[in-house]
Amino acid sequence: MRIENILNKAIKLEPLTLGKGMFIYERVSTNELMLVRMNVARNKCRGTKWVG
Amino acid sequence: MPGNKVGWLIDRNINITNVCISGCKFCNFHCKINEDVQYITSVEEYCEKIDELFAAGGRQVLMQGGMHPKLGLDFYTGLFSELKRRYPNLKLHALRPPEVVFLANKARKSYRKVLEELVEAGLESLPGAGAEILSDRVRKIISPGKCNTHEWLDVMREAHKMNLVTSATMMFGHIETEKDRIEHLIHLRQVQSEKPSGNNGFVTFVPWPFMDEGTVLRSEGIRNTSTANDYLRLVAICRIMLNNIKNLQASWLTVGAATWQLCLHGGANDFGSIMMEENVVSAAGANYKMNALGIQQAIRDAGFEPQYRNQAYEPEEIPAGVKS
Repeated sequence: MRIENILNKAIKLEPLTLGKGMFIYERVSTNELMLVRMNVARNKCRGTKWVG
Repeated sequence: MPGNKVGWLIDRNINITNVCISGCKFCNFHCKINEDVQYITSVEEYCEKIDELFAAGGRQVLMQGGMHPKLGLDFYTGLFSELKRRYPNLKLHALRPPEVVFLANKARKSYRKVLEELVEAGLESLPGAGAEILSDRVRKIISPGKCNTHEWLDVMREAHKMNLVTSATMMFGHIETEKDRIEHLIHLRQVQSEKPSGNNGFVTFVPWPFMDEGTVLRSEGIRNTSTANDYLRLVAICRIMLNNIKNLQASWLTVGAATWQLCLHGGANDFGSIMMEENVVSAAGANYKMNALGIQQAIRDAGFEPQYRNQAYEPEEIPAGVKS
């Protein structure tokens, strides 16, 4: 399991398994997790007028 | 984030009663039916509180528990109908899955039937509280009288089929493991994936840390040791795992404005509400307070733009008379 591959899946909004979720929760730095989730948030809201 | 906007609203918490049979070890608010401090909020008291809410510009009340052994479905439908009769513009964001399960068992009705009767009486959205950690091992210890994981999720499945607006929550940092947290998120993601296309489902997810002051859990040696970094990591992993829930609200009430502002830079996009009269986590040590102006300033100070919204996360004009 490679961290980079898992984070790329997350950014593309692909569902992560329990194992992959645990893997990054335990091993990825807070900075990197925050950066990934910002990108996830951007992808979630792409093309919408508002957050909801 | 489109337009860099961060949602917020004005609402008021009103506890229907403080009598509750769930025996949650993290809750200092509940009491038994025979205790002197027990109460059931009267219609006159609701009116006084709702008048204050309307004067402050809000239109929504969050009405929750406890699970009073003598209050059944008829009590709640009667209460909601009466409040809607007196305040047709009032938005009722009320009860939680544990209360729906409790009422269904008491009335020997399905969750669907109970929800339909509540909606008919005026319920407009179902809060996702009472989830704590969706693990039966954990729930049996910290909330022995509350519904189990399967029941909590099934109530939400029914609510989603009816297109009720719902939310989801997590209270972490007590006896659960990191694996329990990730499994909790996967349970929510699964239920969200089952909602009929186009229906609201979970419109937001809100995680907060266990507040331990004066709780039974603390007397048993379980303390809240979460740091700001723990919260940021938890919020981050929630956003990553919940790929099908659009909004994420960080909990200013429990972590304070500074940590909350940091969460915005990692992907959280909502402030929640000013929560007039929050009683439960406040009774366990969450003492942060914010007013409408303070919320908007905190959002701006973090580099974002405040956007007033409703419970369905639809943008609204800021209420007349509220300073911005």
